[in-house]
Amino acid sequence: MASIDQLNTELSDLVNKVAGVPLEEIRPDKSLTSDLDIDSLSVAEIIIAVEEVFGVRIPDADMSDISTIHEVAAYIHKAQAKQL
Amino acid sequence: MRTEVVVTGLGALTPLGGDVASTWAGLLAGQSGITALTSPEFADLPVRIGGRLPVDPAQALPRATARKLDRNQQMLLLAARQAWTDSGLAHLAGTGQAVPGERLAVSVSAGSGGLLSILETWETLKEKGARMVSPFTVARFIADGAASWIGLEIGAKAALETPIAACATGSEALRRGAELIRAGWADVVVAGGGDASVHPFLLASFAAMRALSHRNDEPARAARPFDKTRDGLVLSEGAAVMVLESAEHARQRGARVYAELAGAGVSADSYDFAQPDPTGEGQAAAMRRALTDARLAPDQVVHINAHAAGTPVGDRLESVAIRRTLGHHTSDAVVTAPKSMMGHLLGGAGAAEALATVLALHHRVVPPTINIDDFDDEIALDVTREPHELSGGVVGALTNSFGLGGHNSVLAFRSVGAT
Repeated sequence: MASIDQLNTELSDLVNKVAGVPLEEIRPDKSLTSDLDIDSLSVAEIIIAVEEVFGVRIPDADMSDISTIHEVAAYIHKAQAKQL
Repeated sequence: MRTEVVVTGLGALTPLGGDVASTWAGLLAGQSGITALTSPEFADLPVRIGGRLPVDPAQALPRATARKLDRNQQMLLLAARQAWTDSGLAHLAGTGQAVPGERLAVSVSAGSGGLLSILETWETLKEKGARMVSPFTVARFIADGAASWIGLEIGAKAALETPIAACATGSEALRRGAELIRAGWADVVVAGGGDASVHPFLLASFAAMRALSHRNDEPARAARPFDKTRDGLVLSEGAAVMVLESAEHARQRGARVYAELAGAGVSADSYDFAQPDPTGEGQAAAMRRALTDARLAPDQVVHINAHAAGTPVGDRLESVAIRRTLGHHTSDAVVTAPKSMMGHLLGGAGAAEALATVLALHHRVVPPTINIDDFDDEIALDVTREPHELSGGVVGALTNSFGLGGHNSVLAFRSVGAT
């Protein structure tokens, strides 16, 4: 299973690819919307890509608890641990 | 006193060029932007010619931006950026002189909306299922998508509007833009239209209406308004956007003014979906209303940018309507048909041709009409086949846009000062 650090790195690449945010601006503690200024539809695209790449489901209800890259990574980590 | 509306910025992507300068140079040089469509998806169509942009708008935008936008939105956003920069307002952003968002509006339309995105997403949905449908799908296909993207970029908070009127869409978007300023809702409006129409679906649909030229072997000679052998219009893609501004606002910031958008006239035929009212009264009514609105007398009109799409019936009828409007002053107005070079930009046509009209007044020269080998003697107009110099002084010009469904939209422009 991937570590949180690995997940953070992979997520940064994904955010860069989907939303076009330069890699040097992306850090685990950054909020997708308020810090990285990613619009709402691009966040939806990122979540779809996360579900596709990491094989997890992130229901809309859980989205309100997720804001930073690190929080997304932690969510994936927890969901993958449950699957084991 | 009525608020005067002036044009202070121009932007365009047309089959003649990726910007205003190259489009204008192409028009003056009498170039054709029409080419053969040789890629496999066009192979089985009855019509395989069209006007494509010489630049790919998707390549001109960062990849992450381009993939959010339909092709019409990419073109319109790029044209809006050109116009915004050209007006000088882009340079004022973030300074004390910036236009407040509350006084800034957008009136931008695409006649077919994001049709290409609808077709593409339908394929994705059928082949890969709902999970692969992009969250941007709605934003890409709604007709007002381009207005919203442009509004987001420049921070327009007065209004975002999207008038749609088939082939008169671009003209109607400009009319609405001027109205927003006259009515006091905004000081500055980014206004225009565009369509991404070179697609097998549109070619097949327009061909089914018997609207298109079938001159597949001679693409550059297919668009031939006012020629005896004209056999229909040629579909093109493109967008044109203007910055409209209250004259007072433009004066205060010392803006360069291309021309005054002096008035507009609109009417509806409600005669037949595809054929214009054969008396020409609908079109003439729109022209008369534009002249009245602009406080122009028929003898002050030195130039008419004709709708002239190159259809056998339409061009002849426009001649009747112009004569009905200007009477014995018809011969004083130099007529040109830019669709002979650009083809028909559908939702972009009215805006691109208004832009050509503005530049004709600004540079005091009317671009030629090409492909008239055998002038149709039923056309009783002074159509220029060479660049035609306009006289000095304050003069007026009309640009006609007539749309399927019976839309008649006419804009009147007036020249300003010495050039």
